[in-house]
This record gives sequence, C-alpha cells and structure tokens, in this order.
Amino acid sequence: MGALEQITSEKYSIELINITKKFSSVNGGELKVIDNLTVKFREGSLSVVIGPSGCGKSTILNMIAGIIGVDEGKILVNGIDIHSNPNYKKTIGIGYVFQQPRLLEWRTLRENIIFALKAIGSTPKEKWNAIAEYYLKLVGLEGFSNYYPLQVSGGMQQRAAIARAFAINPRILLMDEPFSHLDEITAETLRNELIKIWTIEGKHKTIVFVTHDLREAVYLADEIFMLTPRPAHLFKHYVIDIPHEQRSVESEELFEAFSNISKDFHKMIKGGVNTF
Amino acid sequence: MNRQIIYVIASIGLFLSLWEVFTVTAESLHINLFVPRASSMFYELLRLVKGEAPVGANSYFHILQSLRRLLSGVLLGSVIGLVIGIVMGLRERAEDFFESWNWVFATVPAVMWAYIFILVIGANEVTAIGVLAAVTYPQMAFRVSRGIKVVRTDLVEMGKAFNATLPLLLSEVYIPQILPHVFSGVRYSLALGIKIIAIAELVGLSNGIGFMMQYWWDQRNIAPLLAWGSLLVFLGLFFEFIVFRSLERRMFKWVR
Repeated sequence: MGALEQITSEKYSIELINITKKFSSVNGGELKVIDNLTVKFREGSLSVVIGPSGCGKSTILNMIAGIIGVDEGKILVNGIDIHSNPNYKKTIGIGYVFQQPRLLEWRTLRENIIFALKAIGSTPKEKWNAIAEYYLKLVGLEGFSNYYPLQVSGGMQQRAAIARAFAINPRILLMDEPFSHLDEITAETLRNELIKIWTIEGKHKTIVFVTHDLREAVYLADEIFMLTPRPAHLFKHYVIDIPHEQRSVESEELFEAFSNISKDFHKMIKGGVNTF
Repeated sequence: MNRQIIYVIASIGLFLSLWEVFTVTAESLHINLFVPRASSMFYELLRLVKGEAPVGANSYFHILQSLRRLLSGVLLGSVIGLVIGIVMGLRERAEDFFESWNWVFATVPAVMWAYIFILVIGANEVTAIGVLAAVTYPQMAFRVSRGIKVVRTDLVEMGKAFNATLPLLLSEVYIPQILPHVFSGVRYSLALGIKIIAIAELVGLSNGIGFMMQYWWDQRNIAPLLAWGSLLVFLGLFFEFIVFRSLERRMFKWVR
C-alpha cells in the first residue's frame, strides 16, 4: 500500500466508542447522522477526518468539544469520559478553529485571544497580553493586534482564529474545514503555517482536522479516517508515513497516497452507502 | 459643526421665525391667539438661563431636580428591562411569564401610574422615579428579548467550545450584540421619560420643570410656561446629539 499502513496500538488522546448521534428532522422524525462509530485519535497526531458532505464530520468535533451530546456510546478524552466530567476542558484544554473565523467583531484581534484565555481560566491575567502578542506574531499578525476583525482580510481573520486556538495551549485542537472558504494560495500558506506552529509547539498537541478536500487531507495528515455517507461509520483508516518536512505538492509518495485514497473514496461513493 | 446639527438648528430657526411672523401679524390685526410671540418665549428662556425662577432657589435647581428624577427613573427602568429582556430572550418559559406583564405595564397610561403611586406611597421622589421605571421598563424588555433571539449562535457556540461561562458569554458575546437594541430602548425610554416626568411633577411634586409649568399655567402666563416646556425639548436634543451620538461613535468604532 506504499505510504499507507494500518494503525498499530498507540496511546490515544481521543476515543469515540460506539457513538450514535441523531438530530430532529424537519418532518418531526429523527435523522441518524452517526451510527455506531468507533474511532481513536492517537496522542500527538494530526488526524484528518474525511467523508462526503453531511456525513457528520463537524458533528464529531462538536461532540468532542462538548457543544452537543451523544445519544449512544461514549467519548474519552485523555481517558476521561467527558459526559461524567463536564469540566474536562478546563483540565485538558481544547482549542477549536471553525470553518469561519468566528471572531468577536467588537473586540480587537488581541482581545479575541484574551477572550479564549479568560474562558479557559487557567492562565494568570498578567500573562494574557504577552501570550496574545506571541501567538499573533506566530501566525504573522505582528502589528495587527489592535485591529478589529472587520479591518483585516478573511485570511488574516482565520490566522487570528488559529492563534486563538493555540494560545490556550490546548492538548487537543479541533479544526473544522478551517481553510475551505479561503482562496487556494492563502489556504496553502496557512496549511504550511499550521504545520510550522504545530512543530514549534513540539507536536504534543493532538489535532483532529475535518475536511472534504482529499489533497488537503493527504498533505496534512498523519492518519486519515474516512467516513461513510450518513449515517456515518468508519469506512477506512490510513496512516500517511511521510515526515511533514518531506511533503510537497510535487512529492510522488504523497501523490500515490492521494491516488489510493481517492480511488477508495470514489469506490465507496459509487458502491452505495456502507457496502464497500 | 456637524452637518446634521446645522440642519436641526436651521429647522428650529425656521419654525421660530414663522411663529414670530404669525403672532406679530395676528397682533397687528387685533386677533387674540392666546399664543405669545416666539421672541417673548425666547426672552423668558434667557431669564431661565440666567437662573431666574419665581419659586425655589433658581431655575437650575428645578432643572436638576427633573434631570435627576428622569435619569434615575430611566436607569431603573432600563436595568429592570435589560434583566427581564435577557431572561425572556434566553428562556422561552420566562418569555411566556413576562410577556403579558410587559404589555400591561406598557399600556397603562403614565397618569394612571402616577395616581396609583401617589395613592400607595404618597407624592414624593419615589413616585416620580417609580412611574418612570414602570412605564419605560417594558420598552427595554421588548427590545432586548428580541435582540437576544437574533444573537449569532455561531459565536455562542464558539464561546462554549472554549469553555466560556454564562457571565462571560453574556458580557462578551450577548451584550455587545444587543447593544443597538439597548441604545434604542434607552433612547425611547428617555423620550418617553421626558414627557412623563413633566406629568409626574405637575400632578404631585413641588419642584422641577413640570411643577414650574403648572405654576405658570396657574398664573395664565404662557410665555414662561412655553419656555420651561422648551427645556424638555432641549433635554431631548442634548441626549440625542451630545450623549448618544458620541457614545455610539465610541462603542461602535469596530464597525468598518
């Protein structure tokens, strides 16, 4: 399978065990989005979740972040069952980068980062400004800390959102198609910067990255989890065993991995739901 | 000078000029309109500015009394309305509970509130402030509850993802988004309050602008009555053009 390998036993940062999630449908019935899904994200890995639109990729992140609950199954974060420990985010720290920057438009970029630090509540107040300035510099926004979000470009807003997520020093970073609304040049720059910052931080953080862009998935991922169409369960799991510093758009190994995953993805879609 | 202020002054100037011409013409034709000249009212206004008042220490004493009651009443009403509005916006059951009461308070005439308060606690400061609060709070509650409902849920979700507590969400996410609704509520409450304070002072208090209007009405002297009444208009203009506009410029500077 070339660069693709099956996962071996590791220490897991996040474990979704037999998760089922339903939402109310518009006709009053139930819409099962996730069905008996079990996935485990390795500690310190950059795991990418891919799957067709509407298969519940974002729902997985929202469940890990505690924004929504699960209907069946359990989620363990660093071994802690998040439903029996609602304060898990305070001890573990979870950063979240959304598809849209979701910055507070009435706060400057620095104040947006301070908002996250305030919310987590584990950093002394006197360090807030220095931390905010450090991470803004890290994402290339030095000198823009007093700008309001509406005074900078969409790409700069998303950089600030990334800085906000890293600033709380999370052990887990959730990223929901964070570059999908940006132009390709900006997106590529930010992908590289994400890897750079993650590397600077020592790759201790577990990143769960959701995307529907297979190229992006292969370029970023240590591991890829491919989900079936709704109701989603795990279709296939891949390991991309190529060091990030060796990855480039011209890399043949990366292209081979992309081709294989892409073939699988299309077979899954053409073969009908859950049948491959 | 701000162009808008120039237009406002020009508009008022035109009105006063027409008034003067109309009353002078009526006088020359020996028609009694029972309306003084604009210049007479203006003269009385100058006496007010100099501090002259037939009762009380001086005119500023009465003005400050009215201003104090107005601000206290509107502040109290706004705070009550803000709290009730937030609760109504966040909890559907609270909305069901408060909605009809808000309508009751919004529709009972101010004069009726004044009589109710006078009957219960007598004619005093608390009555004036209480009447103002009772009449103005529903305006704020209605606006804030509607404002809360259109708050961007994606930002609330973001706050929750970062483990923000409800007080932090309120202060950083909800309240900044409902500020335009709060401004609208305070503006309307002040405009309403300016009208009501005159009635409350006229009905049962012994000082303030409303009391002085009643005093000059008892003397059947219309020029000073209008001069005192015009102070209420100036108060409204002051709040709109000096206070609110500058506050809005400061608080909404993040808007591109």
